[in-house]
Amino acid sequence: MAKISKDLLSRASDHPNEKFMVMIVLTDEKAAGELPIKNYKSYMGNILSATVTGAQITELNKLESVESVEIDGEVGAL
Amino acid sequence: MAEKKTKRYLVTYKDQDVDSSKASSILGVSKSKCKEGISFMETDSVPDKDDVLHFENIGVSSIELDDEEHSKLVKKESVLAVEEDIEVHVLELTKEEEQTDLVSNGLGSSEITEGNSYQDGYEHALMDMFSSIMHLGRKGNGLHNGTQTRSFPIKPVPIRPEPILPFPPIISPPILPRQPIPWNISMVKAPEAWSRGLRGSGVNVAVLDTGIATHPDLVISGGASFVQGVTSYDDGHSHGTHCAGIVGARNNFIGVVGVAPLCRLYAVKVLADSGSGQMSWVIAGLEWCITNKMHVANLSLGASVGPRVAYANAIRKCQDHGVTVVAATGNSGHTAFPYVGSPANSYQRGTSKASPIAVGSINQGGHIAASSSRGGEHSEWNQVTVVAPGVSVRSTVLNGEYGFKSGTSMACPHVAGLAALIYEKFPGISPVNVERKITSTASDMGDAGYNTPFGYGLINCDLATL
Repeated sequence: MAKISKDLLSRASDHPNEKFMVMIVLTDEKAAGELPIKNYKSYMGNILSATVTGAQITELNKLESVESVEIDGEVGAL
Repeated sequence: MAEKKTKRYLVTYKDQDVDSSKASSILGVSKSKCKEGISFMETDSVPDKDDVLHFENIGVSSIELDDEEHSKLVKKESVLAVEEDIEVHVLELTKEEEQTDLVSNGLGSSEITEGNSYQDGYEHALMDMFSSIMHLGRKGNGLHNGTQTRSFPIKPVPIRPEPILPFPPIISPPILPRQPIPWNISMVKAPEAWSRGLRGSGVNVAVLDTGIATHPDLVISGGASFVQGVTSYDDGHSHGTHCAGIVGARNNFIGVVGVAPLCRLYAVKVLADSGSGQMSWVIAGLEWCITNKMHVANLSLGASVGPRVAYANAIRKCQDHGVTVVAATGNSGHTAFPYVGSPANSYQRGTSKASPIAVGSINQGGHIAASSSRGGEHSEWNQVTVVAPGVSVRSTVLNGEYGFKSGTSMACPHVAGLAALIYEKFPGISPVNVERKITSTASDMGDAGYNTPFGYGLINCDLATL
């Protein structure tokens, strides 16, 4: 799986100031401090929930310690 | 000072799961005096006056009390009933007794039924039994609704002294209520596992959903809410309450019964009362499952999207910590995205732990539900593992009521319940082995062997817990 989907990367680069609610998975639990974001919630050590800009998503794509950035999508009862 | 007069009583608790330690605390006796009832009675021993016998499987204790102790115990919040341990006798007649009874009343067999409806007969039997027990003198000469009645035969022995009672006792009709078993519970062969003593006792099952509402058929052991702005794990939707009933509605003579009626149900609210939520709320709920030592996490939720790395990570961590994750495949079988949805489709290369047990839905006839999601856009996606009943399933809903719902959401909790039975049978089993037990014992359905709509087939609670 790609670190960031083509669709999200494209939207992020087209709209650098737009805010996105995302889930970030880190390869290393200690890497949160290196991220270009300040406010996030951390789950299970290496999963972060945050609201980031399109420009920040582009930055996150360059970091080795980031395994994935995905939209914090809606789920529903089945 | 004269010793207080005592009698032996049976104490029934409101909570079915009262163990010996809890019972001794409620009864105010030392733990050493609280003995396991079944093994004690198997030795043919007679209990000492201060011995307490506790029957853990049925949540009842036998204790000797004086009047003062009795009245104190009755008032305790956790006690449902304190009843005298009375002598009982069989009520069945031998053939000879039946014949004697017919002759002594001058009735031929044809006269017994002629002109008497079932209801009349039932009422007569009750009246006669009252008369016999209470010695009130209704000895075959009474008239009831203008019909001749016959006296209830009393066995010659044992003869008990006439009771001195301040008022007549209330005697329940001699018909015991039975727990209705829903078709879906029979279909997965849960009663066969119960008959071997497995009911999910001591196993923690988290239902990550819209919460669980208070219901007379459910015991909620705890929970949490991860819905923004909502602190209570109560359910304002009914979806979570319905799923919880399928996992663990109590075996208590009312409504429905779940697959694992003695499991500990936890309400983890990750969907708002509207029925929807965010992926991050679900992941927060999964983290709660690890922190709070759940054995099983039920995810009857999802979205029609491809696998997500965050879910795969969270599910792998859960299963690394011994939490078996079970997820509904989705209801998109007839749409442009017919595949197993997220999070059921989660996977990670090189490990099966990142994939939950993905559950599809079948109907009462064993046919796959048209809406049941199946397959994957990519062969690596986690696909249907097994199927369970998910069409017109009756379970608990809001306001203490019951209702029917359909979807893979309803199929999923059957598997969560089965996982609870497996944990009870094999304490310490790993999630990978829980899944193996479930898949290796499933009844093959559809094309022979593993296939896309049914996976390994219909779960079998009986075989999976042998």
